[in-house]
Amino acid sequence: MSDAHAAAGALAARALLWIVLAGAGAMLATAVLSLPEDGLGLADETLADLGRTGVEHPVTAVLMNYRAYDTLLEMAVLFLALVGVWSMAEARPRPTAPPGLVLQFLTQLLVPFLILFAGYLLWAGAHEPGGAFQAGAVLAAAGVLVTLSGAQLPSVPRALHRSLLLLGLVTFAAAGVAVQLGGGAFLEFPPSAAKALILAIEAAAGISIGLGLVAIFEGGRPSEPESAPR
Amino acid sequence: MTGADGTPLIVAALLLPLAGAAIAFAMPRTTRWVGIATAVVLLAVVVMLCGAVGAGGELSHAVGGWGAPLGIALRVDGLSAAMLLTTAAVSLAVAAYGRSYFRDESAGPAGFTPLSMLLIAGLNALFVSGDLFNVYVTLEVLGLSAAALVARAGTPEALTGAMRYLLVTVAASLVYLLGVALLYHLTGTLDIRLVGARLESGAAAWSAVGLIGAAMLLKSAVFPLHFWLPPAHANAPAPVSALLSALVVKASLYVLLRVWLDVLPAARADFGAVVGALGCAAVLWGSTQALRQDQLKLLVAYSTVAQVGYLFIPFAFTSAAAAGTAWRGAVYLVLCHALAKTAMFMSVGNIQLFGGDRIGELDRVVQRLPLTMAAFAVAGITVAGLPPSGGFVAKWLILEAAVQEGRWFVSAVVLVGGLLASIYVFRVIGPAFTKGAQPRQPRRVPNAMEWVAFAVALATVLLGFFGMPLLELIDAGAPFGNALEPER
Amino acid sequence: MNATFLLPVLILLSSLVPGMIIFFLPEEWRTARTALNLFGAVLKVLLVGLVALGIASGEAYETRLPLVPGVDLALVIDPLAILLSVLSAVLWLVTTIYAVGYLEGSPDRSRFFGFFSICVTATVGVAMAGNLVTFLLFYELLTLSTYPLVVHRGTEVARRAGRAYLFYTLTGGVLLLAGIAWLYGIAGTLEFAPRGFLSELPADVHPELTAIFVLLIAGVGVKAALVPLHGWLPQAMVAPAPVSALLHAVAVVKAGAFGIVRIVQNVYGVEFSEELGVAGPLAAVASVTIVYGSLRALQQNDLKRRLAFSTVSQVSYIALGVAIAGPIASIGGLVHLVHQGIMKITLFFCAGNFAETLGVHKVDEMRGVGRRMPWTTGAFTVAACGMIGLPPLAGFVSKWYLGLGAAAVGDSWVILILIVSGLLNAGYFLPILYIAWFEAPPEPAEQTPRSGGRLETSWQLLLPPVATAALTLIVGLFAAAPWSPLRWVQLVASLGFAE
Repeated sequence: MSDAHAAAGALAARALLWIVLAGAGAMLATAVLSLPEDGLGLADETLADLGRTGVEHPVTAVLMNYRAYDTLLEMAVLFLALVGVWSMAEARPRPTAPPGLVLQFLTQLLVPFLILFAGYLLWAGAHEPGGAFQAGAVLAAAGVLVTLSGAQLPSVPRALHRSLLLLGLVTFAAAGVAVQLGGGAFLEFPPSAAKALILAIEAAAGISIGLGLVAIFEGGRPSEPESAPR
Repeated sequence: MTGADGTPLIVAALLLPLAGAAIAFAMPRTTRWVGIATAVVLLAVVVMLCGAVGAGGELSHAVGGWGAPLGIALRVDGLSAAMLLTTAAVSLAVAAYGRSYFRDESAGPAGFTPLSMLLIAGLNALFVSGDLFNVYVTLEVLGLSAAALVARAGTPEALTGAMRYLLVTVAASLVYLLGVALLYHLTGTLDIRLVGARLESGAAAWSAVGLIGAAMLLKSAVFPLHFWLPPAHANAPAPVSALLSALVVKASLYVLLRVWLDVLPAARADFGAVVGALGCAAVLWGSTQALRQDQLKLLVAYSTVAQVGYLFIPFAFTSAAAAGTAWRGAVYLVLCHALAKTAMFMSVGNIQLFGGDRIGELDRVVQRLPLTMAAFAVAGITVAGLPPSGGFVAKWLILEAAVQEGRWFVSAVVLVGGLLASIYVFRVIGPAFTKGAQPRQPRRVPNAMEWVAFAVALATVLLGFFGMPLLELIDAGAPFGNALEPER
Repeated sequence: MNATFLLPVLILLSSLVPGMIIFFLPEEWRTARTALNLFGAVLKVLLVGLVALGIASGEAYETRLPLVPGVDLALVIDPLAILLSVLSAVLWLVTTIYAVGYLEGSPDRSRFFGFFSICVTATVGVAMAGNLVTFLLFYELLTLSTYPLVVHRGTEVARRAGRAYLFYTLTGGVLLLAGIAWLYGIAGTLEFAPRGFLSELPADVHPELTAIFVLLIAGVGVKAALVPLHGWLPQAMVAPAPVSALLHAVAVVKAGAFGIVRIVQNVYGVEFSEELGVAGPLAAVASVTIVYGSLRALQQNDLKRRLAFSTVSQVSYIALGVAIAGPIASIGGLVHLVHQGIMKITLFFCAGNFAETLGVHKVDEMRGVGRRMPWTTGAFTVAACGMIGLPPLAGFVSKWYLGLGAAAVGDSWVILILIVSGLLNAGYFLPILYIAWFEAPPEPAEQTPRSGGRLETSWQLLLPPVATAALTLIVGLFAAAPWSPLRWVQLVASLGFAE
């Protein structure tokens, strides 16, 4: 009896939900249909000021110059994701069984190319599609492959590993502050030095992104914490 | 006005918590000191920033030297300054408390300090942002760090609560982003002021503002969208609950306020009444739910649902003078409630550490923790809006506005909400005066944890006496000025 | 920053700071706690005395701190404020001595004295409040600080009493807040003025003003225990004797009565209340309370409950006095503020002594206590006779002026009330006196739990009631002296009327 009531109630709730959703959808559809065909945008301004950015590709200009601050915060988000994953658990132990022949071969074949490709993407970002995030992703792919194949990554001290994970964020922020101390605005890269600065930041960011993604892939912080703080 | 003086302060407020998080991450050994040191410096910076804003009005800074529409503008007016001050004060208290609370945590480089510092960084970035997309990025920082912090408790309930919270907050962020996309298409800019200047009323504009509004109501847990809050806030570790209740739910209020004040003031006329009514409902619903809880922490969490309701009531006011008064009160309540809830969650944390968090068995606990109980009681005065406390000042302003506009129902809700709050606070205080059996073998509560809770609670009482400078600060740069005229 | 600015704050701090320190004193530090208490109490008496002298010679004392735009925290000392301040300062000193003796050896004394001090701070704050918001602030602080005192014993009964107390007073506080906010919306100011600040408002807001009056009086009427808002008072009797003494004589009940005086005199103005037609109903409610309280007191066998209902009745004389709306009646009401305090505190001290020394709680157990505790019973007798209104004691002066005042404005029904109530007072006090003095004690007299050596009980318990009983006599006998409460009240009352 009460079950029937509960079921009826749930049904009514669900129906109500659908009605609300349908209403919201209809509203959105109306809104989108009412949009002007040629939406306004910032494409013209972006191109007009490209000369002062130090890069030639508009997307990179937006990412690293016009809206570099957003990118800085995105670096923070990535760092945060890593800290979040590390805070939850320790990493799974690596597979110890020897990988299949195919995987091993592919890894040996691909990883050097992936690293090279990452470097190219980084460099290319100034005038073609590319940049730190793409490079970092490719780098991470290499790391993941190595991890999966069970090969030992070169062992680095923990502190160094963590510093490398922070490298991108710190370099980015430090560059932003440095130019401000030099008399400009925060993250105002002077056109003369912009290219070099951006490249340095992208390189640092690429390394951090790559390592960060691998670390996240491992699913937790490195096991056996070095002497817990007291 | 480009304040050459204040600009480094704005950037410092942004980067300090990031630096703190980075140091705590890179050198886990320092974690017990980094948090508190960062918080102290941050508070000093924010106080100076408030001084600059109070003296010179709004500060703004074009990041990268581009300025709107191409670049991102940072703006700090009185409203932002008050939010920054709240954040800095709470983060200092939580850092001091967390040092003891998380003394034995084993997460190494990824403990409470870096996560909470990232949360603070996200909040600060939000409160100085003048750009709609940048706001989205800060909301992501907030949501992720808050969810990770909730999960730190490690219990299945906490993980469920964290997951639910994460889904809610990400969904809300996406809805917000959809609204922003519409606005960008309509106006060709993301700068809040410019969008406001270029936006014309229409179906799309209304949808955009409506989407943003709905997203923020969900993030602020405004009744009836509060379902996710109690499990998340009640199962998180105490300092995390403090951060969430004190700061995170108010971040979305801030966004909504900015959008409605600066982007589409006309929205207030139509949506305002609805949101105000939801605020009233939240006050009543949250308070009655708090009355019915048996678990102490759930009581405090439902109290947050109720108090957040007060913050949304001013949307209902239409006349310039009343809305201004009410907003001043609501923003002041943000500060007072933040401190009061911090103190309350810390007290509850102490009680839990001591052993037991059922209201029924409190009489066996609280006898031994007089200072903790005092902290809860004093904070309760602010939550109930009784004088002498900052909460009274805030609710007086809201009440004054309600009377001024002749909104008797709102006045009644404010008064009844206060009465209900005093009842649920006294449900907790009452057992402090009865003689219970000797508690089971208690665990020692570090002195620092008791004193920090008490000091924060005391601050809420002082805010009842020395509120004028802060109320004047909130008005700096007239954050509520342009919305108060019927036409822009 | 001169003395006139600083003194009101110092008066508050003289009890607040010792109270705050006492909270953190370890339970065993008895001497330090007592010394601190007495230091604060004596300091407060001296400061209040200094201010009273200053007021008498025309000084003005005022301290302001803006709270929100348009509303200040205002401490303004006028002659009326002095009345309650002096009363609380003096009686706090006496009660402190009493409480130290009374609580000898019991647990949680640091907590007790801490809240005790805050409670007095709040009372003096109520006295010095210069506007309604400041009044509300201290009024609520009083509520919050007395709750721990009421539930101090920690028993189930005490908890229930505490709950009832909080429910009543917090609800009262909400009504008061509602009234104040509404009034602020209409009048735009809340500052007390000698003859009210509402009479200039246009006539079309008069209905609203009437409604606000009801809210405000209901708000303070809870503490003043106006019928039907008095339910908490008899329950609160579970509190330790010094708390009851303070609650009934100076702190809670008096704050409520004082609030009525402030609202009638300094918010609405006596004449405007009359014009608005709200004074008459108030007088009627006060009269009902007077008679009802006395009738209930007659039925009580528990001594403290009887005294509690007596308070319900007696405090309404104050409300009655100001509601009659004539200068002479006001004198009667206001002077009763002081007189009732002195007499009622004596009675509660004595009741506490009987309970502590002899274990006597009920009226019919009091047979022969006069022989075993002559001093205490003597003090009780003086105060009881004063309550009845026998000349030349304090109560007589109050009732005389009430009667004269009522006659002067032609409200002769009030005189009837006074007579009925006097008879009822006699009806519930005289039997106690008879039982105490003339009936033989039960045999054998039990060993007294607390012996003061040669004295009938410890000196800390004996001195306070004897002193306040002597005061009852003195303020009655020397009512015409230039320093008497009556003279002061005449000054206060003269401010509230045009001529």
